[in-house]
Amino acid sequence: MGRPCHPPFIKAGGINLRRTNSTALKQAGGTSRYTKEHIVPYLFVLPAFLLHLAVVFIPSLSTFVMALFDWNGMGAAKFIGFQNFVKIFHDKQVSLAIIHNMKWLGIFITVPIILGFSISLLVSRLGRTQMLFRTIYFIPYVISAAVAGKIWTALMNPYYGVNEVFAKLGWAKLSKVLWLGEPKIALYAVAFVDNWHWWGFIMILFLSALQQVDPTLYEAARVDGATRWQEIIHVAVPGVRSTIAFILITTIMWSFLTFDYVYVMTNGGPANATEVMATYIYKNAFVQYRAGYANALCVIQSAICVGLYFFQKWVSKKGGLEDD
Amino acid sequence: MKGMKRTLAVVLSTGMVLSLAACGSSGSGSGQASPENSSAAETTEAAAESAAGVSSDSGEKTKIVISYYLADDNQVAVRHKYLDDPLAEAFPNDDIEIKMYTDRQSLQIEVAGGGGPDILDLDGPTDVAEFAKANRVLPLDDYAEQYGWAGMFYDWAYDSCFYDGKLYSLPTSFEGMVIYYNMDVFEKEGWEKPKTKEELEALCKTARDAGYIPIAFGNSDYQGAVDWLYSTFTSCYGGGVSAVKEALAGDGHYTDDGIRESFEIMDTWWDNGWLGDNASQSVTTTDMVAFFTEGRAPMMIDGTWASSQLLATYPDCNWDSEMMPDDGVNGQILPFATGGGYAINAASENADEAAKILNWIFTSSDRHYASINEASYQPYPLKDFDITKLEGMDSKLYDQYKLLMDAQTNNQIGYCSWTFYPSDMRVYMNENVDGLFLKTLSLDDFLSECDGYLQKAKEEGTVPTLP
Repeated sequence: MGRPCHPPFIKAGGINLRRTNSTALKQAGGTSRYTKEHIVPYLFVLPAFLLHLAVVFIPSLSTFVMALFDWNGMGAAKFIGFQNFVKIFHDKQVSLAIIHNMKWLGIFITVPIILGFSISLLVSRLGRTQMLFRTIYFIPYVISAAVAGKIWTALMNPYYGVNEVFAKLGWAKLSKVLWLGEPKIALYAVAFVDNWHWWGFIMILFLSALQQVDPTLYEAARVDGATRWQEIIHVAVPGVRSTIAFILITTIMWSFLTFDYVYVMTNGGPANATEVMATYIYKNAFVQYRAGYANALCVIQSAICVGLYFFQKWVSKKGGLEDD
Repeated sequence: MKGMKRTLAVVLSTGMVLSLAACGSSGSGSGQASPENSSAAETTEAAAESAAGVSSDSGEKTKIVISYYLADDNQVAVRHKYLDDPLAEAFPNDDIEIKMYTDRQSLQIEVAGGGGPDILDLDGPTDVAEFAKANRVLPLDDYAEQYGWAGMFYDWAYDSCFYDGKLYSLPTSFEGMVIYYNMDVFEKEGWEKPKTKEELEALCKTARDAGYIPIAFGNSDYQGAVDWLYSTFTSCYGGGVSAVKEALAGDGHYTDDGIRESFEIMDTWWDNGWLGDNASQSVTTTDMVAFFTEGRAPMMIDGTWASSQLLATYPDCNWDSEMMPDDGVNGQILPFATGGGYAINAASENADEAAKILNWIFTSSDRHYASINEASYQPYPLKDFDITKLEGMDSKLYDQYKLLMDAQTNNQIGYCSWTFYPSDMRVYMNENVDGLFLKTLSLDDFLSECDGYLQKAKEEGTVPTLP
């Protein structure tokens, strides 16, 4: 059995044409029409493709090539084969950064998604005030990471930030916490701020998806005696499954590429407790003048992202979030 | 109708491709402009020149670009008075542009691409060494001979500008690490400035007990600020300069007992809460200065560069600065550094003129003294620098400059990492000293790693020359 073969004929302008038979094409008088119909779409795609080639594909290729060189980012590069990659596997800082990225992923694949989905369910039931709440929750997303990071850094300052408020409330223990200075909690403190910025966007995505679920499905469920919880599980969640799949993919990729909040708030400190792959790559390339090594790190980072992407696709298909 | 649409689509697509191609070649200059658009290109060029303030006859002038750190409007106005305008006056046949860079990376990338300014204002010898390694800056030995630079600068500063036996930069300023005292707090508490390390330690304990942060320190916005601390402690306490010199320039190692002792003292002070109240990783360098000026911290270990900021931003703060108190072994030491280095871009088409300009910058002494006197600029490390010409300036600054000059004269010179340490070693130290403080890294591992970088630099001959 299997999938049926494509017919050897395609229909063009009402005339059946054999794809490979130029004589037949000419006889049918459809040569130019056939050619144009197939070339024009490519012409439309061509500018974007050329742009992509120039600013994405070629630089990506050069990253891979430069990963094989000892290069300080300015002078002549010396070919060293796979030595940079060997060095990466012995670099404790890399494994530490990957662990931090995994923790980051663990946080972002749960907290903002659960929060965003829950709040979107509540907001979707609002009437006139829905726009107000959508705007309020979305505002953090439009604030630049540099600005938000600096504001939160000030708020987390142990001498004049939220700790002062906690002290006044009599919460002595909490008022002494060094949110960005204690290695055990600094990563979570920065992740909290990034979550603050990110979850509103997730909420809006879920809200848009929920609004496209056919209301009659809810009605049918209610007629069948479904509770509110059952409505969510059996109607809302299946209705937004493609959105969930999309959010999972973006979360996984961006968790491994995260840079801005970490760079602005802790710069990888204290004592490398918030160092992630992107900040480590940046430091190698621009602070330590080890551009070749940074390129090799980029290749590893991309490989991890691609690996996680396919793993997520596989899990999503198994879990019914995506169709085969 | 359908045919027309298709024709239009093909034309549009072709147009888009061509426009992209045109964008791609736009950087090739007006020389490739077609006759039709050449006038437009000329108009744009003229407009750009006009915007940059270049006169119509600038085509005959030699264009020289000097890189500069990003500055605010006030700093730019001051710079115009003490650098831009005098330069324009001294070199009427040159078109000199001071180009500000938002960050070091932009300059690095521009130079890496074979472009960039003619004169590069770099962070100092360790930074210059990377540009030299990549052959992006010119050796200045011939110019040094031509202009007699070797005799102009203090040896310690001049020697630090050599890489692999060649001179690659000229030191733009000199600075040192000192301890600042908030005299209002001292007077209020009836404290005396400590003369010995023991007195300072006793004072730190007293201040801590009284609820002060004994010595302000913070590096949350700039991890590398820890080099202010370890440069000071390794130079002044424990094994002191002799141990550091033996390790960096002799047969010693950075794991030697003297250096270990310096780090142990620094670590103990941090543990005691004397350096930054056990919270330095949560406090920015700006907060650190603010805590000192508002009296939350009676002392601060900082560079001499901080004095200008104190005067400008906190004019009411009653402060004083001294060398670190004597530990009875090393004597009083002032860790020295050059604040930056001027280098000439290897891609410069006017290197001779750039060297001439550099020579003028360091020999225009009236302008130099005026800039220090009136705008608190840091002095160049010049042998003929006459401190008496600064009389009448702010007394605190004058005292600090005198402190620097006296320390040089009396050979009380310590080593700041950003001038005297190999680049890789310094980067590692800057990123890992916090690990020592927070006990995520042992001193043994830390020193051993530092020594690894040091020995590698010794093998490669990239350790800066120590005085």
